[in-house]
Amino acid sequence: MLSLRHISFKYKFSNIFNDLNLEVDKNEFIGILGPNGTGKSTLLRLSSGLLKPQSGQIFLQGEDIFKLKVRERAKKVAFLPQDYSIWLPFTCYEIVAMGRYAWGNNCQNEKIIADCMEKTSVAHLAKRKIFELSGGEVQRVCIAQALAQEAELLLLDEPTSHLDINFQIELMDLLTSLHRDNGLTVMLILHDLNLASQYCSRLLVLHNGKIVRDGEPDKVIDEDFIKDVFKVKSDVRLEDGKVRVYVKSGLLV
Amino acid sequence: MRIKFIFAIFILIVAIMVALSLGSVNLPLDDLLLAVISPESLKMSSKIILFDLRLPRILLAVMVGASLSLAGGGLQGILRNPLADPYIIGTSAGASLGATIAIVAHVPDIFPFLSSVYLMAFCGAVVAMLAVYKLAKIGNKLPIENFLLSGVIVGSFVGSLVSFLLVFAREDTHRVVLWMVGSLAMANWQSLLMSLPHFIVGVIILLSCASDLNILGMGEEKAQSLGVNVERIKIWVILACALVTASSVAATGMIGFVGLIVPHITRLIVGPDHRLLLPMVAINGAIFLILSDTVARVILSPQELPVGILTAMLGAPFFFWISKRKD
Repeated sequence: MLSLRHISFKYKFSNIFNDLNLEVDKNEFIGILGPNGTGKSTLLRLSSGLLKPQSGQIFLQGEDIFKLKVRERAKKVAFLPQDYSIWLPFTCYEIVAMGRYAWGNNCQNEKIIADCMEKTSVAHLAKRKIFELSGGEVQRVCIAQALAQEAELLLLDEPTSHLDINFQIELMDLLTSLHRDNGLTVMLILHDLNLASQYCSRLLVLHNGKIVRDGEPDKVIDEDFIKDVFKVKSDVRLEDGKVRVYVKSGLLV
Repeated sequence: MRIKFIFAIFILIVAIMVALSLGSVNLPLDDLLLAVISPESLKMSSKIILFDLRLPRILLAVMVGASLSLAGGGLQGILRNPLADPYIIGTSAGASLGATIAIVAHVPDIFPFLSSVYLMAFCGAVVAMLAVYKLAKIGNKLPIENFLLSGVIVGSFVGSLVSFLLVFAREDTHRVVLWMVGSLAMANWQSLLMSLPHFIVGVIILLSCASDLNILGMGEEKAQSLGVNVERIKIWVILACALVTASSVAATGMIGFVGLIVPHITRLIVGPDHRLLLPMVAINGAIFLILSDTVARVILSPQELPVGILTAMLGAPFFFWISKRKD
C-alpha cells in the first residue's frame, strides 16, 4: 500500500529523518506514537505527498507518489490535518462535497456524498454552517470529506486532540468500523497510549527521527519503552488481552 | 438563487438607464428607450452626450467596478483574508508611479489613440506586481504571508518615489492628485477598448478557478490533499487579478474600497461558494460603481466629484465595521 524507502528529510534548521524505511500493508490500522518534535506529523505529510524528502522514494500502491498528479494522489490518499483553518461559513454538505473535487463532475457524486455523511452520522447536519458545530461534529464532517475522496489510505494527524473522552471513543469506533467495513488502511498519530493499544493493530514509535519500535501493541508498549521515550515511570498491565498503561507522577531525568 | 441573479441583472440594467439619463443635462428616460429602437429620433446634442460621453463612461464603470470587485474577491479567496483588496499586490502603487512620471515629465503620447498616462500606469502596475511576486517567492512556492508583506513593502517604496516626484512637480500636482483619487471622467471608447481584452481574459481565468478557491477555504495544505494544485492556482489567480486591476487603474486611477466592500456584501447575499459568489460580485461591483459615479456627477452639478472620493467615503466606515465585527 505505502512504502517509504531510504527517506532523508530536513527542515531548514533541523534534521528530521535520516534513512527512514517503512512498509505499510493494505488494511492495517497503524498508530504512530512518540514525543513531540520527533517527526510524526512530518512522516504523515511525507506519506501523503505534501512534503518532498531530500532523498529517498515513496511509493503509493506501487507508484512513485511524486510522479502522480495532485488529483490522482487525492484519489489514493486522504490526509486530515490536526487543525482546520476554514475561513468561510460553508455548510457541512459543501465541505463534504469538496472531497469529490479530484473526481470532477460525476453523476455518482451526490450519492457518494450522502453515503459518506450517513456513515459518519452527520447527514442531519447537512445544511448547518461548519462554524456552528462542536469539535466532535467538525471532526466527523472532515472524516466524511476524506471518505468522499474514496482513497484507500487515510492519514490522520492527532484526530483526538481536541475531543473529550466520549468523542475520542466515538471517533476511534468510527475509524475502526470504516477500517473493517470499507477496507480502509488507517495511519494516525495518537498521544494516548491506551487508545493506541486498544484500537490499533500495529504501533510505530518514533524517537529522534528513527522508528525505534514497530509491532503489535502488546509487543511495543512496556515500561522500558515508556521510560526511554517519554521519561516517565509507569505500570503496564495486560487486561482483557489489551495493554493498559498507568502513568505515575514524577519525571525521570 | 436564480431569482437573485435575475434580480441583480435587472438592477444593473436599471442603474445603467438611470446613469444614462441623469447628469448636468438630463435626458428623459422615455427618450432613451425610444433611442434604443430608433437612434435617429434623438437630437444631435443628446446623441453626442449619450454615445460619446455617457455610454463609454458607464460601460467603463461596469468594467472597472466588476474588475476591482472580482480582483478583491479572488485575492480574499487565495489570501484567506477578508481584509485583502486588489491594491494589496502592488498594482496600484506601480500604476500611480507610472502615471505620475507620465504627468510630471509630460511624456508625449506615442500612440495617437492611447494616452501616455494609461500606458505608463499599466506598465508600472505590471512591473510592481512582478516585483512583489519575485520578492515573495521562495523556491517554487509562494507563501501567502510573504506575499502580503512584499505587497506592503513594494507599495511603500514605490509610494515614496511618487511623493518624491510630487515635491518637484508643483504645477502638475493637481493632475496627479486627481488621478490618484480615481475618476471615470477620462473615460472614452479608446480606453474602454484597450482594457476590454484584459478584462475578458482576467474574468475567464478567475471564474474558472472558482471551485479551487472554495477548496482553498479549507487551508492550503488540506486543499492540496484534496487534489488542488495550490501553487498553480495561486499564480493564476494573482495573474488574473493583476491584469484586471492594472487595466482598471490605468483607465481610471485608483478607485478605492470597491474591491473590499463588494465581495463582503455579496457574500452576505449568496454565501461563500465562489462559483456563485464571483459572478455576483462582478454584477454588484458594476452596479456599485455606476451608482457612485452617477452620484458623483450629479451631486455638485454642473461640477463633478471624482468617484474615488465617494467610494472611499462609503468604504472607510465599512472597513471599520468589518474589522470590528471580526473580533
